[in-house]
Amino acid sequence: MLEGVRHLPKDDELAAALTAARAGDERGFAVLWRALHPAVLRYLRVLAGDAAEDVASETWLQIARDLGRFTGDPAAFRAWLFRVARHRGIDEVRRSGRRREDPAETVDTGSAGPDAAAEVIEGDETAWALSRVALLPTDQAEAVMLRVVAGLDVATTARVLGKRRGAVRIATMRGLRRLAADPQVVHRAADSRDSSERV
Amino acid sequence: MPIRPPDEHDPALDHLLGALRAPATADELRGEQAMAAAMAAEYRQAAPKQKKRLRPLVVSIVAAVSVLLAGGTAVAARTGLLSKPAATQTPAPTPTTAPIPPIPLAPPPSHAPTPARSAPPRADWCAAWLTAAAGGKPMNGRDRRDLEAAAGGEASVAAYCGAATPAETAKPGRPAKSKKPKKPKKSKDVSP
Repeated sequence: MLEGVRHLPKDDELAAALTAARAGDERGFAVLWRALHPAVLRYLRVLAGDAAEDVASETWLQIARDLGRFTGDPAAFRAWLFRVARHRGIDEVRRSGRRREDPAETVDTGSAGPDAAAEVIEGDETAWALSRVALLPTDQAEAVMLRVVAGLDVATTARVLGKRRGAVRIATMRGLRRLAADPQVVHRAADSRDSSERV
Repeated sequence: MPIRPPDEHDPALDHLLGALRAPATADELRGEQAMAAAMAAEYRQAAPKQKKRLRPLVVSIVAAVSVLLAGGTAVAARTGLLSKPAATQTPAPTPTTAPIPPIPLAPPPSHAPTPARSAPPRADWCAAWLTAAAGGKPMNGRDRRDLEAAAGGEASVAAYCGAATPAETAKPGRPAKSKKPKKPKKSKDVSP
């Protein structure tokens, strides 16, 4: 089962939080954010690199602005949230791509690139893993993140990405295969096994 | 339908997926309160706006009209001071003989004209034009273009202004530039 980031709240908790948020209750927003922000942030680290935190904040504020018009269950909310995050992330990549062409910033090439996630928290295992996913072709990286980390099902992932379900399945499978063959992934897994055996 | 190809228990992949799905760190959850407060504020701000969308529109229209009226008054006040000497120095052609060129964009007579706004621009433009012609304050470039367009060409301005009366038919304050007649412009040297 691709269950997503561990300790995700159940749908009924999210439903209660959605109701509270729609009533303007700050605690409702807090529960939604705490529950889904980590997955949004990790997805955006892969998609938008260093800009992930800013893009995530923009995403949440837009969600709050438009929540009055949202009528749906937690599953629909999740899909909506990641769709907004995706659009904002893609916008940011376009913007920073343009910025990189700016002569004043040519030194800072690749800031939104695959290594960005690793630079944020050196040595952090999650950051490292995200940096490996970010090396995949974009469609595979997105499919892996939405399926594995966000815990979205194939149909929802397909809606978020604007693709057919078959395409999502294939992209996820290819992405996972590629990751399994990634030498760094293999070595890191072996290293962690060795160190845990030694301790 | 869980998909976990290549191998269900690929140790390397398991390690990676475990790291990807690790519980949120304190760093990732930093600023929860501030974010929740900001979201609630955004929500409160956005929610009433969606219901009262008409009101800001009405307010902005009223504001825009007031600005236009105030601007017109200011122009009238300024040119009013200057129009007196200008009128004495520049003899205007007699209205009876000067043909009145057609006014671009003038609506058909059957349409109700907007009398409050139609008269001032022409009077103001002409006052400013006469002042400039008399060697006084040069005329604002845009107003001059608009005036020439309204008169049907630079050569016709004198006649146009000489015939200007408050009872003139409605004319939009700012005729579009594209409506500016090109032919009369060439007859620059033809004196009025």
